[in-house]
Amino acid sequence: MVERTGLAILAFLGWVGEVSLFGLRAMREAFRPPFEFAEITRQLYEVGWRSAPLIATSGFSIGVVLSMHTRASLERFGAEAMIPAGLTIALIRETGPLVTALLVSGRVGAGIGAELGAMKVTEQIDALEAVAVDSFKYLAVTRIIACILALPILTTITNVCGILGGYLAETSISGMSLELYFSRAFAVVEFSDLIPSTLKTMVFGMIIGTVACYLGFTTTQGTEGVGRTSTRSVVMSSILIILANVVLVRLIFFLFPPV
Amino acid sequence: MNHLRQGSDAHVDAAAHSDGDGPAIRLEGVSKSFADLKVLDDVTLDVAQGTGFCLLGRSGTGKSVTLKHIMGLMMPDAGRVFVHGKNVTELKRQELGEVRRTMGFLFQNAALFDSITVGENVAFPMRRHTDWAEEKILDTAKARLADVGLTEAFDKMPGDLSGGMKKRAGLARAMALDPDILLVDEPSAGLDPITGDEIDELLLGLKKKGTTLVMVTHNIPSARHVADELAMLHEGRIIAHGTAGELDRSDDALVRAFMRSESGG
Amino acid sequence: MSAKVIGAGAFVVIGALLFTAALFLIGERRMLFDDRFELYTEFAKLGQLEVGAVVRVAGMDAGEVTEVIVPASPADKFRVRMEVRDNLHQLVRTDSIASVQTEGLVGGIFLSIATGSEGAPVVPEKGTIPGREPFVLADVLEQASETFEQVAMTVDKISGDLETTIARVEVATKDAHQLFIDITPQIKSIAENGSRMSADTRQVIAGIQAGEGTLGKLIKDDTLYVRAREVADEAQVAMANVRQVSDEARRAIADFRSEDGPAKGMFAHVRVTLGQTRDVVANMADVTEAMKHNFLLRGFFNRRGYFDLDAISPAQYRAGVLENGKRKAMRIWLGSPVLFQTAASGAEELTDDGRARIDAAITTFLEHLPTSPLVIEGYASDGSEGDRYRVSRQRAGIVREYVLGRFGLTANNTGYIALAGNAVASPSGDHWDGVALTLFIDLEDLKFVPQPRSAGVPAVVSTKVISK
Repeated sequence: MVERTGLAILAFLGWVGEVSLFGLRAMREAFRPPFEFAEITRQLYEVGWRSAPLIATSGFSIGVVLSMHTRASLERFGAEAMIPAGLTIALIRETGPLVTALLVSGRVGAGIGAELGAMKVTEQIDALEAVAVDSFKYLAVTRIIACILALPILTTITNVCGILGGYLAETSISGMSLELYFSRAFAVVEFSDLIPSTLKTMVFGMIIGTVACYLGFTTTQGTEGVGRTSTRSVVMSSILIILANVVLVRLIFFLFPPV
Repeated sequence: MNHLRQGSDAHVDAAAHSDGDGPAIRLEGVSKSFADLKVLDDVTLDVAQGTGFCLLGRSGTGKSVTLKHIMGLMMPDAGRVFVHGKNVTELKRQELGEVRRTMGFLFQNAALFDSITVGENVAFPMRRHTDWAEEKILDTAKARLADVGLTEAFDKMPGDLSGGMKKRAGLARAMALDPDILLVDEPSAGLDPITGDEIDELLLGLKKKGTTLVMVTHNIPSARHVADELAMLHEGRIIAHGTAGELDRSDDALVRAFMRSESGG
Repeated sequence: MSAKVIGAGAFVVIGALLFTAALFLIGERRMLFDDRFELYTEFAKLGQLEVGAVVRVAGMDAGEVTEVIVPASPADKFRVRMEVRDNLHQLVRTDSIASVQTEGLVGGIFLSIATGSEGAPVVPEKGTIPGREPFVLADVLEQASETFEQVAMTVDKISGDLETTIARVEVATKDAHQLFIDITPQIKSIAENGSRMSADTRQVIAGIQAGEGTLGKLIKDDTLYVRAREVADEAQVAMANVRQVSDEARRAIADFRSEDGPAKGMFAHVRVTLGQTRDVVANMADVTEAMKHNFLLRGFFNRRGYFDLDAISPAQYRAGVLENGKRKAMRIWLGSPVLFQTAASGAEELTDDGRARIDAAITTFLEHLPTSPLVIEGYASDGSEGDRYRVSRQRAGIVREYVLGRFGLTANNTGYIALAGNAVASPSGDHWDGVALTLFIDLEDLKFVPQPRSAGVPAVVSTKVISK
């Protein structure tokens, strides 16, 4: 049992190592011409624009729910005035980035994994190489970059929609004005809350893109393999995001000590 | 080795297109294994400029793998692969790209990019590697599709095509940049006999214009028609090599049986 | 393809705009985009004030704390540097006071700057304004617990001493004996209440240290407060009685014994202990006052009707926030022609006649003054709105100073407010020129006073005009 667990851990570490090398290679290639701007734009559209409705809806619902929860707990202390600030801090610092990353890993990670997996098993990746296109650069680097760029933006959308959702929940109970809500919402938010936690999602984007592309590129065994890739890509990127988040939060606290 | 010379000697007009410094393609002692399965075992062969070369063999004998080695899509475990005298196993990425630009590859399942239209599939290599105007790219793509009889499929998505149509579209894409070397994996599989013949004629026409053809097929009549030289792979090794006539007279019963079949699988 | 390019572009642009908007909201809150001036204040205790804390001038967001300079020695104070919006500069005067306050229960600590007085000069750039030491709940609770225990101890002692005294005096005089018997139950009740109260306090404090649950109890549950009030009240009544008793006893004993008799020493002892009780009660009043300023208890005190006058606007005041079902305002209107004369300096000062009027008016209130808050309302009906406000403030201030000095009232219980020209139901209708002495009196209190001291003044007066 212990031995098997040990082997599983070793296998996982080895796998993480391979994915990391894949990601490193992607980063190195990203700075070498030719730059696939058209493809990056196309992927930004796929990863970003097309995820926006999902992200906005989720962010909004989370805002409403968080607002209700914050109200329940703050009401006990007679601190209802702190609801907007509490909600905003919770969203901006942690909920927004993490929820966005997990949602995107579900929608985009699975999509990229399946798409590249299918391209792999139908030899489309070879076909790209055959027409002298660097498939790694054309398919993997562009998608990883698109994920890295899209995540902070999607996180911002989650945050804004969440705050708006919180506002609607709040105003329906207390009739608070939008202006007052926003002034209270941002009363305790510092640059050091917003900027690091938004930018850290670039790491999440990197994880989602890299894991999905790696799994896509290494897909075997036909259609069944494609399905497996799609699932694994969601599972693995979610796990890695959650683990990375621990490290990142620690790092952010180290660099920007909480007030 | 000597029978290869013989092959190129047989087509003097084709040899005229050669720049004289050796074969278009050369495989030297190429071996390749997948896990425990040895797919290619010390394969050595030359294909002269402007000739048609046909790889025969039963399914799973490493024919497609050989084509992929020529394209540099696979690297041999041992041995070397030369294209136009350049060792593709040692080339840097960019140089390999340059070599690949002179080649066209028709995949067994066509491998059309299924996220773009058939027309865009054919236009894709031109968009990537030429600075042609949009109009010229589209015109050329249409002309290539017309060559394979698929004019009407220009705006369709690959998913909407039948297997045979995909194959022809894949051929159109492989020919997009007027390659010096065309690698075709079972061009007539899944096509009706008439379309198959048309494709053969098309390939023959290309060869006459100086294109070096390497073809994998089970269709013996088509191989006899298009190829100047044939080789038969069995269990990773070349068991016969020469013109159609030479293979007909082979000592090996398997080769003779293969050559007698009227249409491949 | 072009639709995708547009989609991708829109995505990036919208995202960048939203992010910038968020940055801007934070920046705006931190007043990064406004002109600011630099200002210092000093505290011995920081009360968790940190760099980045919001600074408010008269309750308005005005800037932030930019640096906290640690003192070189324990005797020195922390210097706090802050940046304040330039357009509020004229409100910050050299007599403005900075204090550390807490915003809500889970809110941040912020630095509040009270606007200075009209006469004081505007504080210069990089000037230093005085700081009021932060009020820390833990300190008060500690103090309170000490106080309560002291009450209990003192009361015990009084009780014991009195028992002894009574026993001794009994030998001396039957009259005195009777008097002491009368007061003994009261003393005992003080003692009981005192110890009950200290037990409660200990419990509450332990609860607070243990967790948040009891904190809510402290805010909502007013048992403790009520107990403290009861004890204080009883102690006062008892003190008055004891004094009376001791006077009579002394007279009795004086007849019985001369100078060096043991009884005199005993009475001296009684006086000392009673004096201690009074100190303790006063101490408790101070603590209570301090508690009123703590946000945690503010709601509680507001509900009980204790307001910090600084926190009440004239409009709120006129609307009667200080009154509730039980407490009513009792006003005595004094007109300016009688009260004030213009001094050589041009400022107004009290006339002799005015002083006499005020004395007479206060006499009416004396019975209730220790327990009921007195507010001097200033009114002025001449000049512009600004003039009226200024003059009314000055008048109220002058009268308050006089009253405080003359009757030795506690400053905490004696407030003043400038109401410009508009009065509610004054003798001259909706305006007044002069002052009104307003006692906020608990109707319950009135019941306990059987007869007003000065005849001719009714026990319950809502409005009484002394002079115009």
